[in-house]
Amino acid sequence: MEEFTFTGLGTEWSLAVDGKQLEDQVRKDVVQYVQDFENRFSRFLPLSEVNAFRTSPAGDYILSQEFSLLLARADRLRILTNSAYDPAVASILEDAGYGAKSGMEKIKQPHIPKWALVGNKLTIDSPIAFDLGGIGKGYCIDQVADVLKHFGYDYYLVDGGGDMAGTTKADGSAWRVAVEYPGKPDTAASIVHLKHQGIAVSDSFRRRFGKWHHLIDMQEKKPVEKVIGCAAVAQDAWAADCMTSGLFFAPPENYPALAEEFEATYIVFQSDGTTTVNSDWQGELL
Amino acid sequence: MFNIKKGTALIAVVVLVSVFVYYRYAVKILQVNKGENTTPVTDMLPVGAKKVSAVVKYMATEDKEDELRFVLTVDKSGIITELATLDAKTNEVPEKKKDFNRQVSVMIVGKKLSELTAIDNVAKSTLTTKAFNSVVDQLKAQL
Repeated sequence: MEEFTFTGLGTEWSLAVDGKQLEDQVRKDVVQYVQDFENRFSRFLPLSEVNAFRTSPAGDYILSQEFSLLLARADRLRILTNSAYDPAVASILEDAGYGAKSGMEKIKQPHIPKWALVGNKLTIDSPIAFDLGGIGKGYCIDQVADVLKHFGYDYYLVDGGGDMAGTTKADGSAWRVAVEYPGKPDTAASIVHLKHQGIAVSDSFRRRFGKWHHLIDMQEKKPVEKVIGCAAVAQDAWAADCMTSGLFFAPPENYPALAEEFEATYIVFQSDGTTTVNSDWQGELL
Repeated sequence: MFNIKKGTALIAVVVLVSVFVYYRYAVKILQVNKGENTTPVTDMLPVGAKKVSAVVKYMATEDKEDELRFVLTVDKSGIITELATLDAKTNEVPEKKKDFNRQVSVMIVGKKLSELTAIDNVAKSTLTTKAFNSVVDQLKAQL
């Protein structure tokens, strides 16, 4: 078993591979991919694609294939959460003081920008910036997994800041992954046996500023309060990541539709102390 | 004579109602069922409402193709009032889909990570990012 760690997308990554040594070229390619992804899709970088329309007037614009893919998924999530999730949240976060970097043009308009996507054509009603937080990292994790596959690695666990995609170990056994209890970094809520799946965890305890945290309900225009954390297991990390975002923002009656959309199972920790578990959850509850 | 008229009228009413029901619902049902990929629709719908369906094929795994049938019920204004997902072959809700609709409330106390054995990794929320750390002072100044 070999492990390789590095920093990317502002968080810690680790690759565990089994049954084969990790070649230098693979390490380089993985780090390069994550760096490229950050350059293209980070809200904090002025020249990224998500900031390309920060000063653009209303109109139609053609997006890159990958940005279209990400934004199409975000659009789907927007529908499934009754518009509580919206990647146009960037302007609200900036108004609250999160992420407005010096040298970056601030979005100036009196309303939350509206946008629509058809194929790779983006239509906006005013200048807009996107925040792909909640869906971007899961996608990136799967792409890193694809790099490993491309180089012939069959047994791996890719960890991108706590969300993961894994196949199996070389002996065919599953990866045993503990699910952190929201707000308790030393405590596990569940143990999942990950096998050709992705897992994602999200909570509102990290990335706080004062009374605010980064998960903003676009309908309420304030941070989500009912859910304090959640975990999801799906067929890949991207689906799991999207599922956790959906669980944070959607009303509970939408959870089955989310689970169907992303083919995911889940745990949701509510702020009133109750916990909801999808009956298909295959992890051990602690 | 009066009795005959009453009976005739009753029969006429039954025939009229039957014809109305037939043209209002049964014809539509038959039309819906004409297509190769359509769902038998047997329930009665409100006036103006209708059901439409479509079959989607997708690769469930690399070598296995599955078919799902999506059945939409729309009201007279064209607004979707119901969406059902069925196994296209059995016209029943797939077992997997049923599972998606079940959830339970549980009490999870949690267990110290240090007490767990043979754990390969811990899934957790993303740690505070460098980007966020870089603006913390600015944020505090605004609070």
